Order: sequence, then structure tokens, then C-alpha cells
Amino acid sequence: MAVTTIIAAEPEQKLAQVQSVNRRILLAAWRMPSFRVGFFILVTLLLASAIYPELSSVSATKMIVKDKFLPPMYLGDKWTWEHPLGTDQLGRDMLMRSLIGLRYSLLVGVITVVLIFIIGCGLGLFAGFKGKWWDTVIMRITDAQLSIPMIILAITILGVSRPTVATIIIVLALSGWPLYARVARSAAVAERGKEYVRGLRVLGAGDWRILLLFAAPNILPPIAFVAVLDVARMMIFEAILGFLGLGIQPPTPSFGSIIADSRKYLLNAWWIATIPGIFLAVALTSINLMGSALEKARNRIYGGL
Amino acid sequence: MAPVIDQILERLPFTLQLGGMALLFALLIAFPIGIAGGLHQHGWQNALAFGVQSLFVSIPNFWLAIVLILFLSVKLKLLPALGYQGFSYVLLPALVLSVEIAPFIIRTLTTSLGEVMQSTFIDEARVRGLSRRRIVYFHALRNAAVPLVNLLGIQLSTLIGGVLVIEYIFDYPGLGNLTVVSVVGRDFPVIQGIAITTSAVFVFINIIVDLVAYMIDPRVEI
Repeated sequence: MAVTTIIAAEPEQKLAQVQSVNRRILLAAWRMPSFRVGFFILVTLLLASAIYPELSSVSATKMIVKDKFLPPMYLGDKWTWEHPLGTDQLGRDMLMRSLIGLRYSLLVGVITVVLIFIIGCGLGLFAGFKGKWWDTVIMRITDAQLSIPMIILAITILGVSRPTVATIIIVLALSGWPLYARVARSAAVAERGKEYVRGLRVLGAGDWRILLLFAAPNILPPIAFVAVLDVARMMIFEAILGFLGLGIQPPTPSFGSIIADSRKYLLNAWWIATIPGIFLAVALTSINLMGSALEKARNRIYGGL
Repeated sequence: MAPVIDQILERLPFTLQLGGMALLFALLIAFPIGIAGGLHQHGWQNALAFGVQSLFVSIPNFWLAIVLILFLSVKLKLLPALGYQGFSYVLLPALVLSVEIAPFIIRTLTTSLGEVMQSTFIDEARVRGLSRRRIVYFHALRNAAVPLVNLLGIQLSTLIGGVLVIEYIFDYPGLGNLTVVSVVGRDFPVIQGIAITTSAVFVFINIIVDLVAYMIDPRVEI
């Protein structure tokens, strides 16, 4: 990358300039309060969803009908410490169900984005680097995929097959890759004309060697920083599928199915619908805060070069 | 046993009405916040724009729909919620949908307006003695609108996905509801018809978007 023109007086800044671009972006993001807030909220939620269900003796799926419709803490006179966020229509603990739902939501979100990233960027890099008819064929497939709205494809496939965690991830990944392919392709086309690539060609390096060892480390990290935002988007899609009854199947709790079931009890037990929604919104906000901070930091660093 | 095309054509106007209203609401919400955020990059306005967009992006649409039905229709009885018997039935679903689109408009508007306001022709317009209002609304906004128009074309797929869920929740007689019903009922001809129709609409609107972008800024190559 080019040399910066700003020469700062502080030794800190000099140190930062020696570090690689990616570390500087992470550092710049870490300095933003919004990134830190998002990070701590997300880590807290992650730890809670990883540890609490393992330690607690309460089950997320066992029905205890005499405990049904217990309100959350300090509301009404029937609440107990055993169920801090109340129970649902079948006496299942809301806190436990929300945490398990959060586990699946995060699992689906993260794995899907990793898959999308690998498929989309792989195809995009290949198309942009090879050029000629490879480029044409791959990009036209991308355009075709892009013109089918994601949710319609997902609903159609999951509607006719049996939804499991694996199929949900595959379907979401299948419908999400085209945008990444486009971005990676345009970056690869720009990178192909650069000095160092031509230099490597002169030295006799093959396409794959240049692509995987030299071009990819330059192209992919900026895309990866923005991909964090897509984790949140995929979590929303997972919840939407669950809401339509095409997500993770009961009795395993997922945010979408809990909210869908709770609609019938909205008037006398509002917390069944509200609590998973709040959990999901808080998790998504934390991821979005981190993602936007990373995006801002990336734009600032790349703009400053 | 109505032909698929009749079913789709019967539902399409309702969905277009809903989508149009949602877009209108989204623009009404996003423009003031986005313009304020873009003009004051280091002020509280930008922080507000950032906060609003992070919050809006993070609210699941179906959850918001249920909460709004609970408060606005059931508790306060302000707006009707389920079915379709007149224009007022569009308002609540359109409001929920607009919350889903608004953050993207706010983000594009703040960043592109911020960039445009720093370019030399804005300084030059100030030197010419144009009023601030004229500079912002006629010169800066027009240049900042090109990325926005392009984004709206791409975000259409989000809008279609949102329409599907929202129509299902509000029992609104549009294409989205038809999709969900036919997927659950394994009605393959209808599913195929809807997939083709939405793809065609998607391509058509993206062509229009390109033309509009060219109308706003003739430097753009088609």
C-alpha cells in the first residue's frame, strides 16, 4: 500500500503505521465506543447462552403445565426466581428458551456468512482473475441468482423439503452469495492490473499462486469486515423462516417459532412474544454496532491511504 | 381453479400499493434524518442518524408488526390491522415495512451527502452567493441522489422479502400472502408464476432505476 503523507508527532501513530492495514482497521474500530459497546453486549450474550443452559437444571423443552403463564420478575404476584423471565403457554422457562434460540440463531448466522463468503468470494475472485468467458458465465449466473429474491427462494425450497439446521444454512447460503461474488470480482479486476501482479507474472508465477497467495490477502479482509453486518441479516432471515414455520422445528426453540406461537396469547401474556424479540433485537444491535464501526474504520483507513 | 396469471394479476395492485406507501413512508422518515446527518458530519445529528439506522436494522419486522398491532390497533384502536377493506388498511403494514427500508436510505444519504458537501463545486456555489438552502436542496442533494437511486433498486429484494412476511402477518391480500399460502399448500404452478413475476418486476425496476439515475446525473453511463 502507499505511504501516508501525514507524519504525526506522537510515537503511537508511528507505531500504528508500521502495523498491517488490517490490524490498524481493527485498532481504529476498537477505539470507537460503539464497537466496544457492541462487543461487550455480544460477548455477554454469547457467554450467557453458552454457560447458563449447561448449568441450570431447568429444561427448555419439558412442559410443566401447572407453571404456565408465570410472569417475569417483579410483575404480578405469581413470579418465581426459578423462572426469572416467566414461562410460556406450556410452562417452559422463557429465559432458557430464549438463550437456546439465541444459540441456534447465532450458529445459523455465523456459519451461513462464512459459507457465503467462501462461495461468493471464491467465484468472484476466480471470475475477475481469469476474465474472458469464465467471467461472463459466472457473472451471468450471479445476475440470474440475484434477480430471485432471497426469501422467496428460501421459502420455496424449505417449503418442499424438510427444514433442519443444515438445510436452513445451505438455503440461506445459496441465496446470499451473489453480492459477494460481485464485490470480489470488481476488486479482483482492479487488482489484476496492479504492478505487483504483473511483476509476479514476469517472475513466472501461475494464476492460482498469484490469486491465493498474493491477491486474496489484499482483497478479502475489507470484504470480511463488512460481512459482519450480514451475520445480523442472516439471523433475521432465520427468525423470519422460523416465524413462517419453515425454520428449526419444534420442540427445539427458535426465536421465530416462539414469537409465532405466542401471537395467540398476546393479550394476557405479552412477555412470551416480547422477550425473544428483545433478545434478538439486542443481539442484532450489538452485531450491527460492531459491523458499522468496522465499516467506518475501514473506510477511514482506506480513505486515508 | 383460477388460472395462475389471473390470481397474480388480481393480487399485484395490492402489493404495489403497499410497496409504494412503504417507500413513501421510508423516504419521509429517512430524508430529514439523513440530510441532517450528512450536513453535520461531526455533530449530534450524525450520531442520531447512526443510532436510528442501527436500531431500525436490528428490529425484526415480524416482531415489530406484532407489537404495533398490539399497541396501535388493539390497545389504542387507531388503525385497523387485519385484512383489507379500504385504504386505511395499508397504513400499518406500510409503516412496518418502511422501518425495514429506512436505515439503508439514511446510511447512503449521510455518507454520499457528506462526500458531496466537501467537493469544490459546493464551495464555488457558496462563493457565487447562493443561499444555503439552495445549495443543499438543488446542488448537493441532486448529486447525492444517484447512489441512493441505485441502492433502492438493489434493496428491492429486501422489500419483496419484507412484503411477504408483513402481508402474511396482516392477512393483506397481496402477492406475498399468496406466496406463503401456496408454499404451505404445495401449489407449484402458483409458486413458479410468482417466482417468474417477481424476477421480471425486479429486472424491470432495475432498468427504470438505471434510467432515473441517468436522468438525475447525465454523466452516469448506462
